[in-house]
Amino acid sequence: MRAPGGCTGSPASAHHPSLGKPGMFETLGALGELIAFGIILGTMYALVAIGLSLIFGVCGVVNAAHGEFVMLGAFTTFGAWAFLGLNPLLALPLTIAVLFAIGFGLGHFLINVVAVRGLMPPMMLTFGISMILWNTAEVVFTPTFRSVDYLGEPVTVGFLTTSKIYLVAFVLALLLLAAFFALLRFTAYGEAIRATAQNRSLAQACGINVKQVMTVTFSLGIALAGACGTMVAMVWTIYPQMGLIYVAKAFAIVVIGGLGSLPGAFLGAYIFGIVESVGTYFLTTRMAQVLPYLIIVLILAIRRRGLLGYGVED
Amino acid sequence: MSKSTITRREFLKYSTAGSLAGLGSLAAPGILTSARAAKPIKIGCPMPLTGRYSREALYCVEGYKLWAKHINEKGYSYGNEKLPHSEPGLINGRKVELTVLDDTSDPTQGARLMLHLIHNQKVDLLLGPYASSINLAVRPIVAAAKIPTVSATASSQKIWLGQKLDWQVQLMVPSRDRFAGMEVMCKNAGMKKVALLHIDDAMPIAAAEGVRKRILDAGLDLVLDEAYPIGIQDMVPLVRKARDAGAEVLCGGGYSADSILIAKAALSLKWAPKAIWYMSALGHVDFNQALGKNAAWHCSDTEWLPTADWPGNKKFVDAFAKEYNKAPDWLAAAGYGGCQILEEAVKRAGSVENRSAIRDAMFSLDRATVFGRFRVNPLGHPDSGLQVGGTRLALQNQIKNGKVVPEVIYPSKIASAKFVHPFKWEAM
Repeated sequence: MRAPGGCTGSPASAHHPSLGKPGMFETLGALGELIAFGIILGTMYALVAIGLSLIFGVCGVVNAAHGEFVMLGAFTTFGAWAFLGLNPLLALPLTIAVLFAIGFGLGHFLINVVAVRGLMPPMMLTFGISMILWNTAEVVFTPTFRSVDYLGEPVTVGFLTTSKIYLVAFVLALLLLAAFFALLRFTAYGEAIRATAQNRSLAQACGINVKQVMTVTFSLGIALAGACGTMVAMVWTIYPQMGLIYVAKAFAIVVIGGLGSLPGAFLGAYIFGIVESVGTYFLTTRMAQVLPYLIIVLILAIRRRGLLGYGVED
Repeated sequence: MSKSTITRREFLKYSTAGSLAGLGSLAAPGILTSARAAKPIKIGCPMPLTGRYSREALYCVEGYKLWAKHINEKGYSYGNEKLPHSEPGLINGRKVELTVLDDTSDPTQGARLMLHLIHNQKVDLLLGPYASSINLAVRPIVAAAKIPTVSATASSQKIWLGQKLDWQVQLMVPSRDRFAGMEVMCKNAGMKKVALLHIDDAMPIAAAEGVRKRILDAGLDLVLDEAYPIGIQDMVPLVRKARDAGAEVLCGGGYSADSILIAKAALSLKWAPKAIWYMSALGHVDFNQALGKNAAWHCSDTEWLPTADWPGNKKFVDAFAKEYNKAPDWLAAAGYGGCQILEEAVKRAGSVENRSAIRDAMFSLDRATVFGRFRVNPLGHPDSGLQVGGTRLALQNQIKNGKVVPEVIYPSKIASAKFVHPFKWEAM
């Protein structure tokens, strides 16, 4: 038989598999690499979860359509790359801008109108938006599996071997989250968002345009979800039904961290990413999918408001 | 005393009325027949037009629709030109009316729609839905309704094994035969350790059962055997587990998205096992598009090729490309081929109303459709309706003139190229 590249019998890989029963060092090495990988995953999940938590915290809206905005972000990036020839990294600001605009329109004309009517009406509205977006995407984009073929080749950094694109996505997600937290912490608008989250009536009494703050907050949350979509398009595959996976994970993360708590969502995302990654390797994939939900049960049994949450009734 | 005689006027009146009535009664069957001829033959099918199976199912639906178009316009499909009743329409000039309802990739919805098609829509014939899991859900409904049904895209053998199904036949080669020739070729190439990762769904489970047995029978070591749930995006930890278990052959997947994710995960780990083999990948354009040059040297399984020498296949490929402005994949051919079985069974039975005759014809056919050979276990057999005539092929993406193209590597008598190993990443 001819070998590709004419190298019959040569080692299949530079990174040869460890044969036999792994020793303690191999196991620790694997654990370190899987935790690092879980942190990369967690940072990507944090983009979705923090947006979901922020929207709940400020607008009081449980956004059931959040996963569909990840999908829209993914297809915006794919479209910019495939049809406009844009580098996926340059497509990121475009995606954020497009999703922010969509979020602004929805927030201004729909969400703000129903957000004042309690928890259920906005949830049902976003559920309806989710259905519309999902079904429209199936017609417009077709169910074809797509992905952006960009920086897929592996690279070894220290003890971690992974695709360049995983590392790029990790750095981009971290930068975005840092910028977002800086916006909340160090700008006047961020202060207005925090004030609205703490006490909407008092914020209004202090002269804050609460409706506008809610619209912008909703748009920011959607833009973060869209940014996660960009990462997903570069790292994995995208298709119209993908939103459900991310909204389910985001809800779990938000519950682990505590509803409405941004640091909680951040922490929850890392717990989720690491548990998923390590659990798949050391247990089974099925168990790894169940583990985060077992953790939710455990956390809620001990601390009803999640790790860092302030609870719905507050 | 009354007169019993009849006047000439009365005689003419009654005899004219009688003649008209007689003529009417003679003409009535003709009138009714022509009314029946105008009535279309209803063929129903729940299909996942949306949801997780829709990518694959839509190609199959396009195959169904192309067949219906050919029947209604020409009276026959490609490869069935010589069958009786070749006037436009399926039989006696009756055209085909295809009702495809969206089961949203949900077996419960599939069963509900099957009941709706049978009891409300009053369909004459049925096509099974896409995906083995949904076919398992509708199986008892079809059996109770006693309507001839061709399952064109259900490959799990579990639907038929030991069930004695009298009304439902399988077109595809059973899933247990997937990964055709893998164990033989890998063993001959000196590979010994195999990792099997498959999606936790009816068809891939059935496929894994078959290949697991063949791997062990061939004396190979199964170093990892794991099912993963539907919807997993990140395969890196699982593929890493296969690498660390010492696998030389990575095989598995399920549907086309999984194959892409497995390939990407192995690439990100800089791991090149000696062979990578999927249940389904190279038959879809998505795989090559997602991986570019790195799509080379992967292997997968199929049972249809656009170049296959089955009756009518070439014309079908051309007609499909003309109709939909894209090349057909194996599921489109399965859709068209499944309808060809119904077509021949109805034409041989001579009537749509005689369901038993259609059923008998369907179960006794031994022929080739555009999709390949069709022969099922006969009525009365414990596994009646299970496809036993077809064969599966192994493909490997190879580089020809700088392009990544699938080549047949198994069975050897029809192979267009030899199995190239060990695997390597072409663009790394």
